[in-house]
Amino acid sequence: MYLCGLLEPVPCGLSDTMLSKSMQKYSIYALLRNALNFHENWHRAWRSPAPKPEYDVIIVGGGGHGLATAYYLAKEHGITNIAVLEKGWIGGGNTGRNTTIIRSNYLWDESAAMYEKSLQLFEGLSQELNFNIMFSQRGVMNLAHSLSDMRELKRRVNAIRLNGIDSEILTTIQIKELLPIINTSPQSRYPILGASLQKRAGIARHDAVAWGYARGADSHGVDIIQNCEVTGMLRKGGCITGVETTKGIIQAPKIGIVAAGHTSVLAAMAGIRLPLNSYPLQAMVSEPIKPIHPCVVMSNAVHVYVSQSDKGEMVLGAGIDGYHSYTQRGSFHVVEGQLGALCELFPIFSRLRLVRQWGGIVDISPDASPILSKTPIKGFYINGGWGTGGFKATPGSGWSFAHTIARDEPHELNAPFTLDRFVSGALIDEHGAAAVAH
Amino acid sequence: MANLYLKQSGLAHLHLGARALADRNRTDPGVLMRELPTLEMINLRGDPQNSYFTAALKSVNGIILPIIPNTFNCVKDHTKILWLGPNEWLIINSLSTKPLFKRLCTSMKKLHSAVTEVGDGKTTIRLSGPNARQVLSKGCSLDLHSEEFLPGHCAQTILGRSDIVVSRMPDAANINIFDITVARSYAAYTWAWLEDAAQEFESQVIFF
Amino acid sequence: MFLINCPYCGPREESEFHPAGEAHLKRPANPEKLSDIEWADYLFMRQNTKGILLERWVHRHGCRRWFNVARDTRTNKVLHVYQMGDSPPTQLKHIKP
Repeated sequence: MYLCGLLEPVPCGLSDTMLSKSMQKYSIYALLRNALNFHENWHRAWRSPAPKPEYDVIIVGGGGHGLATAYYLAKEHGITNIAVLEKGWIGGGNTGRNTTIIRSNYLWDESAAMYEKSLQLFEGLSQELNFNIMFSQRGVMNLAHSLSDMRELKRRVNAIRLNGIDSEILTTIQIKELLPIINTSPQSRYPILGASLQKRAGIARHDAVAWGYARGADSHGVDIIQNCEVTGMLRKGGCITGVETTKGIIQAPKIGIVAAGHTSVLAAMAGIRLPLNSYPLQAMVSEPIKPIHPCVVMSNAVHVYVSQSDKGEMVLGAGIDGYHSYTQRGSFHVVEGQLGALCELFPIFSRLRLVRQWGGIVDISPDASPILSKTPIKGFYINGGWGTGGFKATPGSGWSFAHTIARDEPHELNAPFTLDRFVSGALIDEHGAAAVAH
Repeated sequence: MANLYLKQSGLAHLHLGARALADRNRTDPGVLMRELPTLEMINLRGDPQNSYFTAALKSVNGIILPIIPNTFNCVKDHTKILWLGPNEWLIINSLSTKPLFKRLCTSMKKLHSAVTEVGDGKTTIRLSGPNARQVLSKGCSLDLHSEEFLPGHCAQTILGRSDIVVSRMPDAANINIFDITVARSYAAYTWAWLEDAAQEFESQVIFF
Repeated sequence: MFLINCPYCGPREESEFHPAGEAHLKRPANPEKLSDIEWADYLFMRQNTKGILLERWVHRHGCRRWFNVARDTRTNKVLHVYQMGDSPPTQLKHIKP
């Protein structure tokens, strides 16, 4: 039904004055109609306006989370005079660098609620945005390699089910049936004793999520301003009043920071310290091959996660590099260790060629849970600390952050994810939730 | 000290003696591989500025500590003292009839120092021949160029995936001789890695 | 992937080392007298500098010594190394991150 979404939108390089309200609906009829015009009359998916001097809300960061925040601010709260400022191009940071895994199998109630809300929004997102985000609920499997892994896995599955989220335990035989290429030999270096499976989990096209939200936000009148780096914060007393950017001063009474690895850099401009550390996290893809890997596989013990994209590439992720960096690249030995582990699990992959490898900068918080919070400065809001697992939370994060900005108070979904939990001690320890070493 | 009668190399299961016999007629090998098993190895810590410490060492077989980083000293032909850190050395003694450990312990009494016998946890692989350097370079990030890593140089580094201490032995005919000291538990891995890396150069196993 | 000049062994590949975060953190003299905010500050708040960061590394696969490094987190370039207990290089303070 969403064939047209497969056409990648043309990112706007030139300013155009097309009215945003007249979003062109993608449908089979639109496709046929445009076929008659040799597809020359498709509108741009979003405008590229010059910034106005003042907005009601400024979102700093044009990744999935920032664009979703703007979209839900407009759609759910009727605030449309919004600018999304992006220093590069939209979705060019961690949104375009992650391994696209979506799941809600988290241990603690607070996280389960947040990630489940996201998963539910993902389930209807292609329809809602009229944009094919290629969401595929192919299941996410977490492997257990030892008896203690197995015990931990059962504990998690029970906790997840108590929160009403689907999760089940697979035996080694069931794993092998689902995934014949996996090495389940008891002699293998990482023997597989079992796995948990969340069937509703899966993957989506990460760029499409950013593009879909961008198009949706733009259709509500949100200004998406690319190549506009924020260089300073303007404050008056205890209130935020605007930002200095490479395109001049832009004023707004409310500013939300949604900038992943650069969250603490931006917060520091307003004089706020955050308990975040920025590290490189690497990912890579192989050459495309025929479909052989029907779900997502994660191993918390050996730190590797792998899925196959619709294009056929194996999408691989690893643990973070242990040193602070903003370079969007990492060290070779980290990749080497990860691929070694991968080939132990999937011997067949040893003959695959790697095509691309890259790094993104993740902001890790002390309890591996996000900070989605008001700050001591009035009108200044933080949405960061998603660390290595932010992509899956894109809709829920934007949805609850929009609520926080619009009402100046957190929604009950994000109320536990405050900045002052590090003072109160009410931490939400999710260090074991991902197959990423951090 | 472990009973010598029970002592066995970490590579004993590879039966290198039989391998050497099979390899004995190889001509022009690029790399020679052998194990130097069951050597006495002692980790020594102390302050090299302390003259009592250095004097006490000298009284045991005339040991002189290397002070220049990444170098080693030899006492006669059988004892090597390798620099591991500013206050740490590895003593390797190949003369099994004259163990050093007890004598070192006695001489270090009342001195702020540590003498630890570590030989049973390690083994040494000797790599030599015209292509030995190329083999090592495949899995070691050190600059092993013969003008950089000279005879008398040593380093603690990584080979493949395991920690090693590598030292370049003095060699008259300018054939590279590298001694690789590795933990016993990684010895089989390191041997297999070296053998694989040396394959293209025609390797020969020798045994004593 | 970069070289680190170990103050004891000389320049070696980064894979021989292990990073250990921000340097010069001061353990509170009277932890029992700290307020919750001060305690959280000591436990959780870090510089996370985009620019020249002073940090600790250990030469884990080499001499196993700890030391300090001044590194630019924008380029990963190691600008200076100095021993534990030494004060940070003063000349680097003038370089604005």
